[in-house]
Amino acid sequence: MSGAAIEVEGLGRTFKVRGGDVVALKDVNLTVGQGEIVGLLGSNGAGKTTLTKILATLLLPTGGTARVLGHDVTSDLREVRRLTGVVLGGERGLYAKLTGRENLRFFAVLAGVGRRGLVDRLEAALDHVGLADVADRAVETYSKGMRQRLHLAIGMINEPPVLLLDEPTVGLDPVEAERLRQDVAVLRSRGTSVLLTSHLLLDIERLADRVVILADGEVAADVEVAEFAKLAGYTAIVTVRGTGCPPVLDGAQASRFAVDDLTEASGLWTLRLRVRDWSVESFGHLGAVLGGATILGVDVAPLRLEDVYSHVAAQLAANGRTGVGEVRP
Amino acid sequence: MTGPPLLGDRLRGAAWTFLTAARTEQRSMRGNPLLLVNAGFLPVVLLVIAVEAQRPPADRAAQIVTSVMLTALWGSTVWTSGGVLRRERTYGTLARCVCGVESPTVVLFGKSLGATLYGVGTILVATVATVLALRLPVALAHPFWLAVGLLVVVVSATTLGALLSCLFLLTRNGLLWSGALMYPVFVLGGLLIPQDVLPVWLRWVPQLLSLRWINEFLSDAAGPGPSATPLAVAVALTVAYGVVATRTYRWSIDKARQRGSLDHA
Repeated sequence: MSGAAIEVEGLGRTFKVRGGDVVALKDVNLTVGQGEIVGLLGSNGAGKTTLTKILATLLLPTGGTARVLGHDVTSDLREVRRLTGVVLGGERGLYAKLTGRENLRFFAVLAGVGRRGLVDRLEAALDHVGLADVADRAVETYSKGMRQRLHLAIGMINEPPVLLLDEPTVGLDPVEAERLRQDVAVLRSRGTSVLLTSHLLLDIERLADRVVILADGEVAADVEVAEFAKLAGYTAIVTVRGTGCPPVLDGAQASRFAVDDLTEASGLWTLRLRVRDWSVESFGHLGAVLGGATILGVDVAPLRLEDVYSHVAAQLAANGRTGVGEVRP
Repeated sequence: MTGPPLLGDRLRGAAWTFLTAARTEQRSMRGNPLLLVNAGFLPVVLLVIAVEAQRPPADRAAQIVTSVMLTALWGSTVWTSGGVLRRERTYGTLARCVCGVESPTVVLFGKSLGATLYGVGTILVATVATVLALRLPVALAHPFWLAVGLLVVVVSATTLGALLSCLFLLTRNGLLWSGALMYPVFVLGGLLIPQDVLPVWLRWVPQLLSLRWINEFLSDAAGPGPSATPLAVAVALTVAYGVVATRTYRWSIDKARQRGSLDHA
């Protein structure tokens, strides 16, 4: 067995539809190390869920290979399923008439949890996701967030070494979402490997060691989170409002700042500057840029991963890669 | 992380999964209106109609009661155990049932057993209550063989339900097929209407239904004495249902994994 928890090599998946084939994945290569949390990003239709489903053995690839802890997802199903927890989330996937405890019990047994210690494990899992008080209520009375928490409990009930999380914080309020992030962070300390698909970049920022971006069914970027932030080419945006003549950047200043936007109206101007590398010296350089101008206010916004992703997505779009599966006649 | 389980552990795991699936399905059947209509209401109505015109003697009453119970069981099987996979697809739970550690077939048969037991239990309660209310003189000449017949009924209805469930999974219109299949078997199944009344070219239909052979066995067991032949044919058909159901289910799952339709509603 190799050291990687997840190994994907040349993975492809094409769906046959009326009028042609839809390519969801083509030649995807990635690895997730043991104990590593990798964030999977991409536009709708980029292939994220397809990849997750292949790793969860719900879907067969049409090319390439995928392994979980050395076990092939197409031929060694039992071992892959024993070693993998899946949280696909959503409001479906539960028995509405049964209680939360009955749902969890059934899916725990399907995940391979034996009779011994089952009750204790159910109690612990329900308590962990904050559903202990409503465990004996029918799931049809649960809110969206409660259902999502039950999905999480189901995915983690057998304490799998590999966990696939697809949009785990969707439907959760900020407090619950934060609790989930803490839960996933605890998994990291236990050595659990996680492939985390999320549109909420806060999840990625808080949890992931590495970011993989899928576009057009291919890996467009595979970088450490710290490196991912640098893909935008700046680390903060400074918005300055003033009167009189707006400042003009000279050559040296342009290497540190980029003008994002400059608007003037009724004698007032607003300048948005992208700071390439934010540091203590930046204040001095900023002072030089704004010297002589009449400043009414300054606002500094540190870079968010949303900004990075928007930047990367715009670059991908400019290169003709929209993330949506293409149709080949 | 541990290594692959031993054979004994695997068998225990499969049995545990099977029983848990049966128990879960039984619980989800609570208050199911289709079950109440087909297993609770139908035997009462059929029995009242059957004895309304003429009160049967004791040996004939047992035959009528058996036929009515098995007819109700067919209705219950079509809608409950036969609808297991259709319901899983509706709830969005099919993918998890298929991608568990144990074989999906174990889960399917467990769930079918759970639904069948609930149906048989409801039919028994409704029938006994009606027999007592109507004061029908039902004789139980060979209770041991009746118990054997009842066991075969449960096993056969479980496999028949699993088979129907797999067949309904192949189509998006399982609900329509359930309705379409129910009444033709009431007429052609050889349970309520004697086989020799049917047109010659249709007499092969009841031969394929295990419940018809069990009906013959139970009728004999309640009267002159049990015969091995109908029981053997019923068991053979039950095995055949099981084999076809298993293969169809595996084929359906493979197709669904190829097409990516496993979690479609």
